[in-house]
Amino acid sequence: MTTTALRVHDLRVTAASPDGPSYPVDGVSLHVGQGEILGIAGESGSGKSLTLKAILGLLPPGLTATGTLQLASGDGELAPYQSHQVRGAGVGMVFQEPMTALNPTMRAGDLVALAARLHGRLSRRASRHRAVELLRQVGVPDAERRAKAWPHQLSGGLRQRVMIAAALAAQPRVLLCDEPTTALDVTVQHQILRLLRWLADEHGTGMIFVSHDLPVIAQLCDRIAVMYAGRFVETGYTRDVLTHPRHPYTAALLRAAPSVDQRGEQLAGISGQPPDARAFPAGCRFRPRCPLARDDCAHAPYEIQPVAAEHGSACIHHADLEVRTA
Amino acid sequence: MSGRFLFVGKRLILAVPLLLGVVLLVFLLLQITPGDPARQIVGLRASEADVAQVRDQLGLDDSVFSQYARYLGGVVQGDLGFSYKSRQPVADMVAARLPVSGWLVISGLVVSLMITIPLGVWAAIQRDRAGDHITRGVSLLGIAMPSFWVGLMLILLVALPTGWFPVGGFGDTFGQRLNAIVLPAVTLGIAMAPIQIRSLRASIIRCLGSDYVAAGRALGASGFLLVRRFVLRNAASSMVTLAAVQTSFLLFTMVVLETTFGLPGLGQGMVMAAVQRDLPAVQGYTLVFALTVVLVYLLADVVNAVLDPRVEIRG
Repeated sequence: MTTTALRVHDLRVTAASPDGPSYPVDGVSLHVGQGEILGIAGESGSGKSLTLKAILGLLPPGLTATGTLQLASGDGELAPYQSHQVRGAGVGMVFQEPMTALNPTMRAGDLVALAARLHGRLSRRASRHRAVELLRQVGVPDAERRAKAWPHQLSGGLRQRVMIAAALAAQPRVLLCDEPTTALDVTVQHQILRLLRWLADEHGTGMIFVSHDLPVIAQLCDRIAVMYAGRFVETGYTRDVLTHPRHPYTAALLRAAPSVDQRGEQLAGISGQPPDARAFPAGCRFRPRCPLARDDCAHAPYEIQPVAAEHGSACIHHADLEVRTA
Repeated sequence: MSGRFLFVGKRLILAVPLLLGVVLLVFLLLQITPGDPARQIVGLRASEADVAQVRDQLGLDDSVFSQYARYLGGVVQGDLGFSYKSRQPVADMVAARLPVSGWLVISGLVVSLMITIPLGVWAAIQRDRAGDHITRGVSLLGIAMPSFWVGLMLILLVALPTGWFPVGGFGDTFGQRLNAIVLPAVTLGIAMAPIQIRSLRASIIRCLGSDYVAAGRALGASGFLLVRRFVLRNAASSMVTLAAVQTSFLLFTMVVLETTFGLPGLGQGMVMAAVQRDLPAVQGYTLVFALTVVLVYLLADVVNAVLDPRVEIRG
């Protein structure tokens, strides 16, 4: 059992509108241990990116978050935090689009150096050295020269490495990764995933890795939380969840994901659209798209029930599902 | 790096045909103006023989092409012809007035930026809140007040009671000139700032919504540091372009201000030359205005190239 680095309890994001509030993230609880990678999987609009932004207090205007956020302090004790106090040093973030997430008018090394200076009280010269060191650490070849490059002169993979180096400059306990490999080539994607895994193993950085790409999560993450319509529907160790899914949505996602050994088989899409936060269905929110939906699903209370050790599902019929997939 | 210099070099080369075109237009100004320049010079009562002699002196009977070639040759050597009225070289008249207008425009720009940058940033950060509304109100007021009125009010309410600033005229020493330019510069700054504030507010809001500002926040940057390192330089290029456009439209405001504050600048000279039908002088002033516009746009391109490292791909 690793020590918990970050704990989130009952996180709710409220979107105010003239028609009344809606809750695109609706009661999310999670924890990440030191050196552990938690994957959050789900379709676009499921609220997974908003969850990350809420953890760092970076929600766009018009959205507010409630809930308890706790971060491990120096002695490992969890303590509630104000998001603006932990940005950088406590919790770092890597964004989806390295193209737009790097300031176009700031040299790569300057960004990393600035991030280091914001927390380390380093001299200008020392922070520049630190920047080159960090760039080298995250695998930027010829770091000395690349530090002087503008973002538009770097490839997508290098840009993402620069972003990671900047996020790591203040040695955060937790790194939030918002689909950091989606915009990259497959080979580059693989390198970045290896880098993230290495950072978790060697530096003990806890990570939340958000992606819609189940194979990537399967490859990288220790634990997984499947998110649908603002809520977690299934949580557990990655292998358990992906080999024995206990929620119809997880099962549907797995059927929709291409894998090498299923070549030639037809990919099964999930019929229908994910619901809009302003009109979540009552009861189980996956019910309208669920092939196994029954009448009582419309009144199902939301609760993640334990289905096995460290494995939970929000489906009230999870016991039947076990029979079907077994 | 070299790409940006290449971009600036390309702009410089492109400016050459532009300048030639400007000289051609200014030259044609004299050609299409009705009336005989020679008759104007010698007066209505002079004999036809005198007129013919002057026409011969000025080369007015040569072909249009050779006249243009001669004019262009003169311009290149700094010879803009002679005034019909004062018989002075137009180049000397322009040279005497150019520094005054230069002081006015540059100090006006500085004042407008001093107003614009804090207010524009404030309005953007306070978007749809008090600071934004206050700035909007102040900007509207600035647009609503005509420059000559602002200038007169500054003379009446500031210069006369305090005696700190001259009521009119320009000085000879640097200190005198600085002192004389304060009120005109403030007036010009008030005229230029409102539109700049709107523009800066819009581009800062665009920047604040960008991924790289969110990334900057995520790294722990906030407040003034965030604005300075992640926003200002990205928001600046539209401001630079706007200031260039504004400067090129300054002629009218300059005439008004130079009259209000009794500054012997180009605007005043242009009006006098026009009133006196002193065509070579009008030509000279027009040429200087046009050259200034070309140079200001070129300068804006250079500044933008320095500010934005991506210019080399866009250029």
